[in-house]
Amino acid sequence: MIRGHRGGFWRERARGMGYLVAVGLGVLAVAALVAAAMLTVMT
Amino acid sequence: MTAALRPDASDLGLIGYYLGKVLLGLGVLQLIPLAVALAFGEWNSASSFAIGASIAVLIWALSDALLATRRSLTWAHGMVIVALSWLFGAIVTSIPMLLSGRFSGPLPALFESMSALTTTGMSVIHDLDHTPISEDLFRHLLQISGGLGIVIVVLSVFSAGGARVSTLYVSEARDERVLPNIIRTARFIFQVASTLFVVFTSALFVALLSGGFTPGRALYHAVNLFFASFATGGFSVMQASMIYYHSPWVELLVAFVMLAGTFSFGLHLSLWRGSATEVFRHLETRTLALTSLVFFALMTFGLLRAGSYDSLEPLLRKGLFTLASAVSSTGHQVNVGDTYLYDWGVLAPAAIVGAMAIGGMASSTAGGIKAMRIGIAFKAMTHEIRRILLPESAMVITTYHAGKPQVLRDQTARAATTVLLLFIASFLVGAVVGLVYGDLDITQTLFESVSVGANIGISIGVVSPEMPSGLMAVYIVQMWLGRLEFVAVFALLGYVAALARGRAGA
Repeated sequence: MIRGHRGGFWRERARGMGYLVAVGLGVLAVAALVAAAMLTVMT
Repeated sequence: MTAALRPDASDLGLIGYYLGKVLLGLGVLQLIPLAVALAFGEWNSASSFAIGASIAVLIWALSDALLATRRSLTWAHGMVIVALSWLFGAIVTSIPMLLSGRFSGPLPALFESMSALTTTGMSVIHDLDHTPISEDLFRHLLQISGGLGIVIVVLSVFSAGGARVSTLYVSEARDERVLPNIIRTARFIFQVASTLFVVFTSALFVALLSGGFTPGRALYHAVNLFFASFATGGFSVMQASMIYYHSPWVELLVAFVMLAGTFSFGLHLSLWRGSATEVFRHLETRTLALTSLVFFALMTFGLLRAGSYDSLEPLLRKGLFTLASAVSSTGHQVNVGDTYLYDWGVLAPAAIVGAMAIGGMASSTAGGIKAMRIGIAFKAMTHEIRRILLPESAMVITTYHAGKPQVLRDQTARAATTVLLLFIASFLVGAVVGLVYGDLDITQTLFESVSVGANIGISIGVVSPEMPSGLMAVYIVQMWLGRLEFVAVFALLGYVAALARGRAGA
């Protein structure tokens, strides 16, 4: 556990994993939107 | 520059003492594949690891007996120890590789171990698909050790206090200390790595199991895939790399692990603490997001223009994954090398080269110039333009957010642009040396040189067991320089010159 902040052993790990997956899905969503838009315009 | 006295015998003894500890760590590491080799009856591999580990332990025993000291480390000592540790570490870990008989000679074995430790991921091994389990595990263990930082990992374990080894953390190209105490920083890095290991190895195990793998093979591939991906190393158990799996789920999970490897450990700490806004405010995150978006748009434009793909799925599974592999500096491949040369046109490979050159975040397991330096260089450029455009009496102050609001200082800008230029010089030298060998064109040599110099590992086909020895040697140096971001190696050269001249710049 990291000293000096709220959250227990499992909670901080779950939070870290949750944010990581959220950022990953966000990147995927933006890339899919950009690719779909370019695909529509260019083909 | 102030001058210091020539390094004396006690300085060299101190360096040798710590170097011995690092080599001991790499010797102890070989006990894991040795145990695996014994368990699976891989006797030839077992004897290779036994010899390799014995040599490393013998060197440590000699250094410990002859050079033991309680002296404190200075910055110069730290830099020299780190530079030598990565060089001698690669040499020592190449011994079991050479003894395995899967490499054409000492140079290819050294190339493989340097590629593993620096998390580059290029391979010159013969018949990878039939490599014994223990040897595959060793290659991947080297990647995760190198990704986390061999010197700091080993010395955090073997040293009693953090103060004496904290200088080594920065020397090992980790300029952002995550927590005030070096031991707590190392512990946090282990916590992140172990948590991700449990979560993603389990997920990969399930994905491979559902893809028809037997439980044993699924576990073997899942563990190695995690090591290679989180270390942003890019080694593979199979010659076909990610193509072997034919699984969008495996690719998605690996992409998440690569993303985790690209994040700086400081950013991981922010996410664990729940301050997610840091992700959107940090100069490095913004730089990486913007440059990646630009490179993705360029790559997609190039692929569509070249007629490489005509639907969304290959654009994401082949294009986006390759870009993620490049940005994260991992080097996992979903295309064969020739694809970039013959099927992707000109613009898409150029976008990949650009993404590879920048790489991931500073203080992560990723390689490359690092997004932070690009961000700082851009800020410095806008600072200079504003200074020219505004009245002479105006005080120009440029700020950025990196953990907290910061003012751009000349020293920061100079350090970032110097390393940036050195990386570009390394890329160009590697490309030109490649051209000297005659059979390759500039597209191939520049692509491969950037991939090697930025510790990425995506290959256009230049690196192979049959490649010229001279080019292989240049690539080894490029990998070494790239992983240590030049500074520690230059400090070593300065130290050697000081020994020769009798005076050292301090």
